[in-house]
Amino acid sequence: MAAASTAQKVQEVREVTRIERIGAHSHIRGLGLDDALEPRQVSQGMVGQAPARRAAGVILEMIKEGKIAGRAVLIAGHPGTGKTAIAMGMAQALGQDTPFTSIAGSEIFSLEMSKTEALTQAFRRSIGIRIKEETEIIEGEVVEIQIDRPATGTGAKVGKLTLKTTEMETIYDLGTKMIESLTKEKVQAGDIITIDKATGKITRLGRSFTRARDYDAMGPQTKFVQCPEGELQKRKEVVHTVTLHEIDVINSRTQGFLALFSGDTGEIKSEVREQINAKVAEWREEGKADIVPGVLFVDEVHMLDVECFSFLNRALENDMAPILIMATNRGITKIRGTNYSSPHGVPIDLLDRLLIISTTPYSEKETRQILSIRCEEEDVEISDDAITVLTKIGMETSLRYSIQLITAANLVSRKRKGTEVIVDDIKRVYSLFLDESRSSQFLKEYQQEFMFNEVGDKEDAMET
Amino acid sequence: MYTNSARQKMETQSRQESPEFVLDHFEEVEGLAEEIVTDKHQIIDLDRKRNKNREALRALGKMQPVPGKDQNNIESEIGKLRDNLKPKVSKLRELEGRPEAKGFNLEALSRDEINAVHY
Repeated sequence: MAAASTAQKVQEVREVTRIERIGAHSHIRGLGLDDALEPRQVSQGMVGQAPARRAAGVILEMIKEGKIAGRAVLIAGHPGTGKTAIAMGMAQALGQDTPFTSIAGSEIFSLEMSKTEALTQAFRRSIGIRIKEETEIIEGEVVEIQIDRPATGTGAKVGKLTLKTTEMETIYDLGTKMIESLTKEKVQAGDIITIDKATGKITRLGRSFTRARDYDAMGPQTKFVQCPEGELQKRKEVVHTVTLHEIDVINSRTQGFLALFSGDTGEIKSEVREQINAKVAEWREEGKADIVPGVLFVDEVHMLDVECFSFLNRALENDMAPILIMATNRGITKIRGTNYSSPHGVPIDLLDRLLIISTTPYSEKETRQILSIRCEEEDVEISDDAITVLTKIGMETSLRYSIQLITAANLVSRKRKGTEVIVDDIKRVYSLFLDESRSSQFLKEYQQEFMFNEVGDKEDAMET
Repeated sequence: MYTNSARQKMETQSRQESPEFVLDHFEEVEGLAEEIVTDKHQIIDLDRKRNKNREALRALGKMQPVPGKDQNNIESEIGKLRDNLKPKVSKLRELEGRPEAKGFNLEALSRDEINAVHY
């Protein structure tokens, strides 16, 4: 059995370290479904909302199998019923490899680019291409570096580099360029390095564990790595997933990569996009690239106007189109840009193409469970009574309001040097921060006192 | 009592659960894993040889821009072994019931092509 376990393990390495903040939906780790795609009552951060999660699970399977390109889904329901949470759950369940782009409807409108450009970019951010890079590298631990300066003033330096792995050791003769690179990288004996054979680039991977005790004090960035195993000259294959949008940006200006950071990509010419599409199709034929269609999530889709909806209709018909998931909490609303009303503010011809998932408000028990999960996520100790009070508040006002009270109550409890949040803490923040209905009440009573008050008589507060 | 297809299904199932089938399957998996490990060791040995040859040629002052016939032979041997490793590993993953490693069977892109799409 030993043979089977030692044979080839293909490495999966994430290229960038991600620092995650606690956000409104950061407790969601997936849809929380079992193998039969049935939702568990409380799982992976999701609570209740079983029919919607079940439906989302089915769609997820269809996405994974690549069976639906260019399909669209609408999640509709009251505010605070888990619409965005379900989309987040789907994103987490799809994994790192599948591109998932999340935008809000109103983001489309910007001075810097047209609506169609913004939508096109959003679509192309959701389509990935998998490619492979192959290089020959020499990877080993530096045993010794010997560089000789010539006896006479002029003349090139010569040197020898001794590298080893767990299985072998050898000496390389160094040319001027390599000596320069090594000096620049400050390579020392005991470092583990990689030399790219094609480019001559040297990368320091770290220091060898065997040299950990060489010095009593090391710099903060010192990383210790195991001595490499196997042959010195290895063939390294790396698989990348790039989105079509990234390719567009790289190819549309000379300093493309800065644009990726600043977001200032401007309008990308359609000729560039057409050429890229053609190239990608060619690579697909030659087996050099895999297309990875992802998911585009558009929240507050009722903010899009009728032109955007026409664009969406067309874009969904492209054979590389990603899955479009939309969410809205509006009922029958006017379609922006027209005077016609329609369910959810979405034109009927688009509604026709959609799979619609509806969400329902949470029960008291579910609300309590969600609040407990959020308390855990925000690292807040809370007493049972306090959670009960918070649940009641959540049911009477809104789920979001009670979630926001959690951190505030935590601060109040820490101020009084308590170990956990108790009912008094909740009462205090409840009186300090108003929810929507109390705030509207207050407004109705005191509207005269507010500036720019439009409802009311001639004695305007503006007089002062 | 049972339909034909149900009977066939039960027969396949019982065959797959039979000790002979399980033994055969394990034999195949172990054999393939053995092959892969052996190939890897062979690559290591060849690389060692290649390095020693290179050092020797250097010492004798005979290093030419184009490496000699021996070195070329070793290069091609190593290349062949590596090329054959990939389908073997693929098959092993299949036998073990593991999903295929993503992008495993893609053709590699040239340096220019990579620079056109990735930083």
